[in-house]
Order: sequence, then C-alpha cells, then structure tokens
Amino acid sequence: MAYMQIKAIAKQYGTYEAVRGIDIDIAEREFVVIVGPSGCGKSTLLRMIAGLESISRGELLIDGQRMNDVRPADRGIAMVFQSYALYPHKTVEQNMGFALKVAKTPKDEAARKIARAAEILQLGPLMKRLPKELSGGQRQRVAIGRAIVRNPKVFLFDEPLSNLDASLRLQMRIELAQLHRELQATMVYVTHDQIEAMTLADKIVVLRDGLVEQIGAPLEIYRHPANTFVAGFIGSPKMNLLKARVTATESGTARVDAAGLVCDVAVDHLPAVGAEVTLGIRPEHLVAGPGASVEVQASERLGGMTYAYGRLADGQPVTVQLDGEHDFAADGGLTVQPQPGRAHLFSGDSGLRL
Amino acid sequence: MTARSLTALAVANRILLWAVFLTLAVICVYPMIWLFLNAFKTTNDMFAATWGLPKVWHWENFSTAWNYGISRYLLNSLIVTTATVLIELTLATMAAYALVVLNFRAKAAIYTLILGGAILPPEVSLIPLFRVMAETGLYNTYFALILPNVAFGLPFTTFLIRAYMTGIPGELREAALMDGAGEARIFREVYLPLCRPILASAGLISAMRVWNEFIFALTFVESETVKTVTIGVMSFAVALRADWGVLMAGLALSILPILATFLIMQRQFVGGLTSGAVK
Ligand SMILES: Nc1ncnc2c1ncn2[C@@H]1O[C@H](COP(=O)(O)OP(=O)(O)OP(=O)(O)O)[C@@H](O)[C@H]1O
Ligand SMILES: [Mg+2]
Repeated sequence: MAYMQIKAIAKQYGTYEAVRGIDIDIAEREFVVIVGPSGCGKSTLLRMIAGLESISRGELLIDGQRMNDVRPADRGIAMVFQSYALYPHKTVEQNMGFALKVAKTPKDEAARKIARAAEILQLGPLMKRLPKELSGGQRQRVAIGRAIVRNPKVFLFDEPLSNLDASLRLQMRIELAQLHRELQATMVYVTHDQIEAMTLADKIVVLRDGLVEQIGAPLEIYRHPANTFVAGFIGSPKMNLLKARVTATESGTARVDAAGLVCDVAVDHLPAVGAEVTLGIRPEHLVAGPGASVEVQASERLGGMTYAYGRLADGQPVTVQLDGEHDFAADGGLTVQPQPGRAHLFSGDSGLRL
Repeated sequence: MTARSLTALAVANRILLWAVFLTLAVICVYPMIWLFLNAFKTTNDMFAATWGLPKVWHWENFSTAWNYGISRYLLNSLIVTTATVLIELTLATMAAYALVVLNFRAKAAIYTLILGGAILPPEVSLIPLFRVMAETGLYNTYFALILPNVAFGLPFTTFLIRAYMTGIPGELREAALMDGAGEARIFREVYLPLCRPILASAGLISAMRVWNEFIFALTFVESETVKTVTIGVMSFAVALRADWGVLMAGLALSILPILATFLIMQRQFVGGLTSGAVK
C-alpha cells in the first residue's frame, strides 16, 4: 500500500477552486516531482500536505493515518520554502535547532542531531553566522538542514532552487539527489524546471488548472505523453504539435501527413482515414533528409547542436534540433524527415493520445 | 550646458539646501539653547544680556529647583511614562500580531475601530473620564494618568507596529508552525525580536507624548505626590514668580530626561519609521 495517499483532494478559495480533486499515491522513499504551469495549484497542493492550508475536500493519509486535521508539526513532515524562510535573527545553529528546542529535546541529543545535519550539508564553519551573512546556496542548505534535523518521514520542497543561479542550481540538484539516497526519505518536490523534474524524480505529476494530467516515471512521460498538454509541457525545446491528416491505416499503425511531413505512427486507438489529428514530434526526433521542406526563419547555434525555427509548407511553425553547426543562410532551405518510431498521435478534438 | 556650469549649479543647489536646513535647525534649537543658557543666570543677568553667556555659572539654580519639588515631579513623570509605554507596547504588539497574522471574522471591523480611536480628541472625553475616575477611586492616583494615556496612545502605536509587521514574511510563521511552535511562541521568538526597531520608535514616540502630556495631568490628579513635571513646573512658575534663573533650571531639568532618551535612541527612531517604507 502506498505510504502517502492523496485522495480526491480539493481546495476552495471562496468560489474559486484552485485544486479540483487530485489523487496521487506516493510510495515510501519515493521522489515525486510536481510540475505544471504557473497558477495550476502546485503550491496549494503542497501546502495542504504540509497542513498550512486546510483541505476543502478529500483525504490525506500518511502511513494509513488520516492527516486532514493533524497539526503541521505532528504530520512527520518538513518543508523547505522557496524563500528559505530562515529566522533572520537566529544563527544557523539556532535556526536548525529551533524545532528541537520547541520539542524540548534534551540538549546533548539536539546538539548531536544538529551536528549530523551540519556534517551532511557541510555547514560546519557557518554555524554561528546569521542568515544575512550567508550566500544564497548556503541559505538553501541551512533551510534543508532545518528540515533534516527534525528527522521527518516526508520532505516537501516548493521550488527550492529557483532563487539560485544556473551553476549553483546544478550543484544543489546533484546534492539533493545524494541527500535523497542518503536519508532514504520520501520527498515531494514542486518545480518549474524541466531538468530538475527529469533528473530528480522517480515519479512526475503533471498538473494543469488544479487537475492531474498525467502521473508517471520521467522517461515514461517523455515517451508516452497522455495528451497534447503534457506533450508540449515536458521536454525542451517543446514538442512540435502539428495539424495532420490520416492518409492510411494498417493494424495498429496510422500514416499521417502534415504538410509533407509523412509519418507512420503506432497507435492504440486507430483513427479513421481522413480524420484530423495532431502529430507530435520532438525537435530532436526530426533529422535532415528528404521529406518536408522547412522555411527556416531563425536559428540558434549552441556549438554541439543547432535549433532551427521555421515553418512547414502550409505555414505551421516547427522546431528542428540538428547535430553540429548549420548556417541556414548559406545552406539555403532545410528538408526534414521524422526518425522512425518517435512520433506521437493525438486526437484532433480531445487532444488525448491515440 | 557645459560640465562646468552643471557642477556650479549643483553646488548652488547644495548651498541652498544647507541654508534651508540650517534655518530650520536654528528655529528648532534656539529656544533650547536659550533655556539652558539662562538656567545658569540670575534674574538680573538675564535681563541685562538675554543671549550672552552667564558671567558667573550659577549651578546652584539647579539644586534649588531640584529641592523645590522638581525631583518629585520628575519621579512621577518617570513612573507614569514608563508604565504607559510598557503597557501600551505590550497591548499594541499583541493586537498588531493578531491583526496581521490571524484570520478571524471581524478583523477589518476591529482594525477600523482601533484606528477610529485616533480620531477621538481627548478633550471630549475629559468630563466622562473624570466621573469614571471619581467613581472608581482612581482619581488622584498614577492610574488616573496611565490608563487614559495608554488608551489614547494605542491606536497610533498599533497602527505603526501593524504596518511594520505586515513587512515580515508570512513564511517565517509558517516555518515556525512546521517546527512545532504555537502562536504564543511565534509571537515571542520570531515576531518580537524582529520588531525591535519599530518597538523602539513607537516606544519613543509614546514616551515623548506622555512626558509632555498636559490635560490629563491637569484634570485627573491634584496632589503634589502624583503631579507630573508638566503641571509641576507650572505651579513652580507661580511660586517662583521672580526667580527666572531657578525657573529656567527647573524647566531644563524637566525636559532633560526625554531629550537624553531621544538623542540616545535617535538612530533606531529614524530606522523604525523608515524601514516600512523601503521594503
Ligand atoms: N489565499 C488564496 N486566496 C485565493 N486564491 C488563491 C490563494 N492562494 C492561491 N490562490 C490561487 O490558487 C491558484 C493556485 O495557486 P498556487 O500558488 O498553488 O499556484 P502554483 O502552481 O504554485 O503557481 P506558481 O508556479 O506560480 O508558484 C492560483 O490561481 C492562485 O491565484
Ligand atoms: Mg507556487
């Protein structure tokens, strides 16, 4: 049985429903990443788990026990805030020890726990400093240290790395993954960042407008997005979603044509010949070769690869990722073909995967 | 415009600014200088040269004034002011915390009501208050001064502290909740320490107000043992009609404590008032 069960949880703010009935099962020691566009209810969901917001409907179970009305501190949960929320007037040591002090933990035991957390996070030399005397990355570590000290069963993170610069983010991401292995704790992590989601998660939950769009392992979601929203949301640059028409079908495979880009796609639900569908193909799954011609309008050369942004013959925008360097002004036009077996097909009206 | 004329303009600007500030400073400071200078003179000296330095520094003016009753008035003022400030800050801080942090139904209404108290001039409630004091036996006690001073100071003090507290990120409280702290503990260990600058400012403002308070002191007490300096100095002036030097010394003594407090706490005072503005 799942360790933490989120059952049909909803949050009502007045007449506005920010979270509209979400079900997630989280196993012990699992790293779950919640992603979704801004305002979709990620923080609200996390805060309901933490107990900082009341749960309007549904049920939260941790280890089989109903948590809806349990005080935040008694849920066995620690939370790391985006703004770190360190107590500005307390030293690093006092910040990390506050929960223990509140819980009246004996002095020597508290000191031991703080020392252990400090060791894990390499905070040793900083223990007597105030938060304002720390760098962003160090503050982030203290915030995590404050969580570790309480020895929680579940860690919650709300965009913990979004205030850090790119290189520090990379470093902290690696440290978080290590921490997860070391502490063997369950973690629920909210982020905007694709790469954090793909690299950290055992399981990704994609939210939109307060509802779950898809739950699955990172590569599962990458390979089999459940609908056009998830297809467009996971992966960078975004997957091309092209209007296409079914030209032929055969058992389990549909042949579609999007302005000259012709693909054979394996499907579970065979569409009718002539039906309007959406063809999904990632920029990295288009290769130069005889096929559809693309009128390139802009390109970005990153050294190892080149992104070409252009239009198909019928004007639909399309992005192509090519290996190496290409200069389209000199080379002239570009023709592309799909890599076999990499395209996705979605229903033209519902957007669901076929 | 050339660079040179630009700097000339800047210099002229600077001079003008300084002139304005200097004038303002002189207007504010000269009565005090005058007071302190004349506190050392005899009455004759004073009329002979109002702005001159004393020919002989008559330090004994101060001891005369002190023995004439100023010491008792000062003590009374000190008691009333300290008690008022402590009670006022305690109540205002707790009210502000509730108004900022807690969610309860009549919150907006209660805040409006508190602010409404600031509109009420003390004069209109003087007679009803006097009757209350008389009936409750508070008349002519320290409480006859402390309670109304607290009541009339609370709206503005609460307003100041509330404004400051809204600048404290709510996530600090949430972090403390996750850490297991209750409201009382969060109030004491998170909000109070962070509010220190505004407590200093608000306390100073209220101390100055209470120290110089006149109308309650005139109405609600009468005996020498509870009179505060504002009223005390007045009766002092009547008794000492002729001896201006001693009177000045008494006045100087009566403003000295609050002046010293202000000078010592000046930085926190300014810091507390501006910190809310530059969030
Ligand atoms: N206290 C509140 N009262 C009313 N509406 C709220 C409140 N808090 C959040 N909302 C609304 O609920 C929705 C979800 O908010 P939430 O903060 O969970 O979004 P999010 O997914 O975390 O977004 P972001 O990625 O920008 O942090 C938003 O539309 C927001 O405006
Ligand atoms: Mg959020």
